[in-house]
Amino acid sequence: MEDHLLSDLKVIEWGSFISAPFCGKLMAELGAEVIKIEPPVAGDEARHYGPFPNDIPDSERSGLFLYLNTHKLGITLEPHTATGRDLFTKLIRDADIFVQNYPNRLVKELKLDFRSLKKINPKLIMTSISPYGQTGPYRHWKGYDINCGALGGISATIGYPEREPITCPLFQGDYQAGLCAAIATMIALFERERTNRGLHVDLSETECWATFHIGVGMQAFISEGRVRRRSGHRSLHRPFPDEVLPCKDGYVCIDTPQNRQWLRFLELMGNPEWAKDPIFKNRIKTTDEYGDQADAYLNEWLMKHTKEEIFKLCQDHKVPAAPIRTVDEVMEEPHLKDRDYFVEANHPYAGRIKYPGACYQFSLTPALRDGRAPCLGEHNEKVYCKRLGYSQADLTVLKRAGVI
Amino acid sequence: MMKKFPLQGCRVVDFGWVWAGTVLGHILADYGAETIKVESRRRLDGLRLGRVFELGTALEVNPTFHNLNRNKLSITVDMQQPKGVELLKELIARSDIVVENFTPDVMKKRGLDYDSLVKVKPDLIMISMRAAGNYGSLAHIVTYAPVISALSGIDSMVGYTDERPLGFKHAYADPTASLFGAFAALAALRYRKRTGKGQYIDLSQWEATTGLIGEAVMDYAMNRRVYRPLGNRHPAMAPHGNYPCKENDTWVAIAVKTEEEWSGLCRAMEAPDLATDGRFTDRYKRLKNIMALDKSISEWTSKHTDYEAAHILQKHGVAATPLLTTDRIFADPHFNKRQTFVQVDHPVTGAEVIYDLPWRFSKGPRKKFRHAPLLGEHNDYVFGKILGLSQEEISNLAKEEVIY
Repeated sequence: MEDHLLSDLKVIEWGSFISAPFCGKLMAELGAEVIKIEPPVAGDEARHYGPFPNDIPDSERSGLFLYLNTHKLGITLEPHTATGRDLFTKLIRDADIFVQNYPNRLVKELKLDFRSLKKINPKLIMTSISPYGQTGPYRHWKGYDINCGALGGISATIGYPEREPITCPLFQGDYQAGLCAAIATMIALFERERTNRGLHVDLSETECWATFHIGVGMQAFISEGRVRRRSGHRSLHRPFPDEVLPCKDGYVCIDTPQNRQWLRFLELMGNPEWAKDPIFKNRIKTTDEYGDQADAYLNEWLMKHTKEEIFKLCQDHKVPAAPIRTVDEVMEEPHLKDRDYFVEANHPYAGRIKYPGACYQFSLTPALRDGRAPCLGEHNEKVYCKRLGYSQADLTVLKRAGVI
Repeated sequence: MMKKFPLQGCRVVDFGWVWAGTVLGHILADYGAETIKVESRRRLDGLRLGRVFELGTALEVNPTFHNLNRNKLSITVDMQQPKGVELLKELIARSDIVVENFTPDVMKKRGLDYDSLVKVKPDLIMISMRAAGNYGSLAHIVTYAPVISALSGIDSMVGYTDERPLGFKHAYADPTASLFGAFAALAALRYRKRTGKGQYIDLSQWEATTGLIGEAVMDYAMNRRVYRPLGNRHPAMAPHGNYPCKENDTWVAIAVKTEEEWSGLCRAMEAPDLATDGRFTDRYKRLKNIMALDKSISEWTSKHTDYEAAHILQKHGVAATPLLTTDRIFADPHFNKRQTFVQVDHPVTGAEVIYDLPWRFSKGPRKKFRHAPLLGEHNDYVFGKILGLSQEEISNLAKEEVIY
């Protein structure tokens, strides 16, 4: 068998929607064996979310599910039944890692919490992803992505000051939580080597926002009283321009913090007269006090050029700027083709479709590229019969009894 | 002797700078890796300079730098001098991981690219985290994080529903890329432990960000649908939004999926009329009549403070959270209880708050936090103790401005 980065790891993923499945995907893509446990009949929630080809709902063709579950084995299991729980613990017995994102109370109720499971497998690493964490006053609060974004501080930075704040698109908090859970799990593996014992990883989605994304600004608030608030299409307290502006056929993002970048930008626009306006003397003030006026000056030149023209001109002059690319443009981008970024998987029901690939290229042990998501219960036989020794007849009874 | 921390014994030479380059190194350092940050007075990490909201020349006073570089050691070496390069090579020969996020040519020009370094350290792990990766037609692109999120496709979806794109106003691509880098580096480190083999990792910040919009990519691949700004709307949840509260510019995030949650919301609002209102009796109807629904909910939330509304709704099983800015995160009891932020004394600026990581381990030592290093603070330790140079040799190199 080919040796991949994480080929030695056995992972059980009991995950729904995005966070835990994304964590499982990141490990599966690097060669870990990830067995995904789904509730019988309904399956993972993401199976019902879509997008679906031609908008026809089909739990085997949900784009979100297909993307988040590549390279995994899929089994069904109902942990609410006594037999289901037995099967669950048998799977846990020889796993290295157990990743889950079900509510803290439910996990305890089903005795699938760390305290119960470590008796079955003392070397188990259990990674629990929850909206707010396993401790603290909100540990039992209910939460979806939008709640974590609000409490964690990211939503306060998006939108116009005079209108409501908006949340990040497409459940970014869930992805951040899955990614951070994968990092924490890797470190936990080193910790297990050190102590020869398993451990529980408590990951809070809200804290992913409050630390890595928003937390770097905390001391600025304490010592200078400055708080980041939403400021529409521009970033305040930054040299002009650091913003998204319309052009002839779309939008561009321009960010010129260094003075030489600003001068080169003026030069490529033909050193316009308006640049002599005293509002440009201090470009941070330009942004904070004369933003609209300065935008109007820029607007004249921008509206005469397409976003690709602006992109090329700016890059030729080493000015940090780029078009706001829409998803169709991203998928046609030659640079990403040069890097073979998008992957293609062939799924028995969904067919051949392009997916985003891995963002890292390993010189020795490349990430897997052509694996697909499992169909519901696709690997029941492989796991229950070949691994756990149940007979084909047992499998039928388990199915009839609603256990799998 | 048993190690005290999981990554103790791992040495990282960290050329990473500003934000995207630095998070990886501090995560490893937080768990005991010896992360040595490389700068020179000719090429300082830009974040060492100035304060948060002012560009300037003052050193050692920027709390953002202090946050992102805690637990690291600092050396100063001039990479433009051959002797400096030799010194770095000697250090890398005694290290495990090299981290960098320069443009593609910088390390190569100095003879510090992977192909050169692997000659002095055959099992080296090296990770480059460039804007657009190490090769490809746009590999030399000039960017900051906002430009990367423009190219990634995500910015085209940040904004009010179907209005113009606003784009992320915090540098979303920066921490995101560094987090993917941390996962990749840790996975490679484990692999090396298992097989003795190191390797080169080429990470693209652009691809890291595009990987978080899988749903949009899949919808385009399946249906040629192009997403526009999405606002607070959710395709399958209603209500789903940030609703205005009693005090000026305060909001509560509310999301309802199940019928159980919907009846909880009606009970919490003490609005039996709403529960029986024909426009809202199931999820389909609520999605179709979202404007009217939002209006009714806003009327109720406007009578309460954000915390009040969240507490009342959570008591009835509804996902609701106050929408917080940094100052209010710092004052919130949940973050305080979980000690999301810790205090570290910095020799120049005094007591400062930095973030802990968004996960906790059930066992093992609590991470230690040492202040970010002063420029060149560890020259004597690194060149004397690790490389075995005499005090005289070190001061000669300093005179020649090699150690500079």
